[in-house]
Amino acid sequence: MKPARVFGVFLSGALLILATSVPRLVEGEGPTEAPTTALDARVDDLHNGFGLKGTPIDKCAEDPVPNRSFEDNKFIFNELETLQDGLGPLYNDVGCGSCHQSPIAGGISQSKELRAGHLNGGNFVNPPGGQSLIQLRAIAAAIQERLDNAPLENIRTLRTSLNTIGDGFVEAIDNSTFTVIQLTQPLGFQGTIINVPVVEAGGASRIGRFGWKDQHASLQSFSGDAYLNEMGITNPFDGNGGTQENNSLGQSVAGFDNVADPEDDGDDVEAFANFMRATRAPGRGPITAAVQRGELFFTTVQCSVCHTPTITTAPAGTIINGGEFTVPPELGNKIIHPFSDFMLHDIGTGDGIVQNGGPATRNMVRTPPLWGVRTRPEMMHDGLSLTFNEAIQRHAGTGGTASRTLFNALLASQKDDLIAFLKSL
Amino acid sequence: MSAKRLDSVCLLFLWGACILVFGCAAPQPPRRTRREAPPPPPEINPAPEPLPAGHNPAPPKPSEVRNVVSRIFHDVVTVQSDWKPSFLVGDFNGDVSQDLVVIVRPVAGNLAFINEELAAWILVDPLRTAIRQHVRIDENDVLLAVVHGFGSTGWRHSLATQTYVLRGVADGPIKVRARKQVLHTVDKDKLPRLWGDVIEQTINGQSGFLYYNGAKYGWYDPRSYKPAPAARIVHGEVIR
Repeated sequence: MKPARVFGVFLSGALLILATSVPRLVEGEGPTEAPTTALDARVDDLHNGFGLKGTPIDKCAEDPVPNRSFEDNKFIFNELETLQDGLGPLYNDVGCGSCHQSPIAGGISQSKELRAGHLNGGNFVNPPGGQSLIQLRAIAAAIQERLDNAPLENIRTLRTSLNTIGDGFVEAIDNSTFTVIQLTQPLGFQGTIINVPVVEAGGASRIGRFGWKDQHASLQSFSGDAYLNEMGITNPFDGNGGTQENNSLGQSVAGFDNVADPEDDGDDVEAFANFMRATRAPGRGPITAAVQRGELFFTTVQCSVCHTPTITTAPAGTIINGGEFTVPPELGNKIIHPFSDFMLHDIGTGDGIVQNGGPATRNMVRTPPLWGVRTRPEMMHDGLSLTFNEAIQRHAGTGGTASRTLFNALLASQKDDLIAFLKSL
Repeated sequence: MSAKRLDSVCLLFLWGACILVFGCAAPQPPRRTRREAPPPPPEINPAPEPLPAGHNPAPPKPSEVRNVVSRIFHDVVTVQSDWKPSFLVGDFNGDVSQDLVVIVRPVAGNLAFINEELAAWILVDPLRTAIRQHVRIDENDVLLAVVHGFGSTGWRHSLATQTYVLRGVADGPIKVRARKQVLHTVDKDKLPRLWGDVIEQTINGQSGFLYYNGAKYGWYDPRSYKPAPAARIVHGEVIR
């Protein structure tokens, strides 16, 4: 072969390699499906790619570590707090992972929290101490909160612990997406949107999406609140600036608290939030023919109006949480299937508690996302419905009644299919 | 085809491929940032809606009650018209829509339907709310069926289908007492949260009332009621 020809072939090959190594055009690239986890503790598939995965650890560095890995954050999420960490004096459990554990880290559990209050002239009033949460544990018997010490508080309700797997995608939903969903809901089904403060952004407003009352909009605020109220660890994101422990139905517990406030400098809270942000979305169970038929009935009987099947997150690069977080590529422009509109509705089961949404939301609860519901044997906000049918029969209000009536009009085999679909979520 | 010509075709093909691939490629654009849409104005946070003005629907007629029972249960139960009264109305779930409570009995041979897993009603044993048992109706049970109303026409509305079937509590004549009246006469500290009106009843010689608690119907016995949360399972332990 002539040298010129050899050179020509070589040059062409080099150009081809170079050309294929140049990135493809990404402008206008469509949204892609969010990665999912099998919800199986035997499978290591929870990390969605946000941040480094790292390797599992059994001890954590005391001092703050920048850019902790997913495995580090998971360890901190599952860590059991002690008296030395500032646990209590009043608390509900000793770690995030104690209540958010099944079937994998970040999931659910049978743990419930107790809320209480009473009405005065039609207005909701918190128990003495100023908050509806009654902590079910204390570090000393003398300060245990008991409702027989507050007999006036005749509004009492339990709240099941929520799944947090996939919550990073929920945080990455643009405010405008919720308003569009709301506008497309027929009258009677329309959810209620509330604005809540983002603590880390100095109280900037954002549409609430976390908690049974939509009381939080960012995972950092949500974690800071839980660290104080569920574990008793004061921190900069707890809503009080990390300066104030919860009291025991109005009685100070200062004498039982030997750890200086804030008990966490915010490092743990960031780890909790970043752990949740780095989780995949809950994946589906086997999709059988019955499940596919049931999905159609789910839409036909209008469950899907509030249990919104599909939402697309904001594009990567979107600045959210009042400017405190930028949606990363791992969470941005992702199609998720939460089966929730994340809005508040009164379906006749209301818990009677007012939090961030004002008096009108007293009997409203957030549409529980149904992704991962197959892992939840106790349903509705109070966990008092033990079968899907019973949960459906509890739906009232305009939209709830319409859907329930349509469900009850299905043939037995069609109901079976719809339940099979729910069991696949 | 000669070797020379074949080489030329190959080279041409390679060059063409390069042009095509280059043409479809572009340098990675810098990631653009944008702020998410602002939340809706604060006034969107809802104000409490005023309750609809009270109205006095006509008293229920036995034929209307039979129609409602038939609409919900088909021929699974029958109204016990020999009980006096066999039906009453009130707003038991506090949604300002009139509800109906009616005494019924399973129709012989239809027991399987009333106990069906996917039935269009919720079976409740108000005397055993602390135990998460599966409630089953027996052939000889006399039952209270509470039909929650819908909209301004209450239990007469065609969408008034949410129904609770209570067993073990039809022990004597029933009476409806308004929520306000109960709150006025009984020490509030000794009452559970009342969503609406209550159904007074005497069970095993003890008078009390049935009340809606947001999930089911509970039994209030003034002698034994303690203002404490119902037994529940927390962290794997039953706590009373």
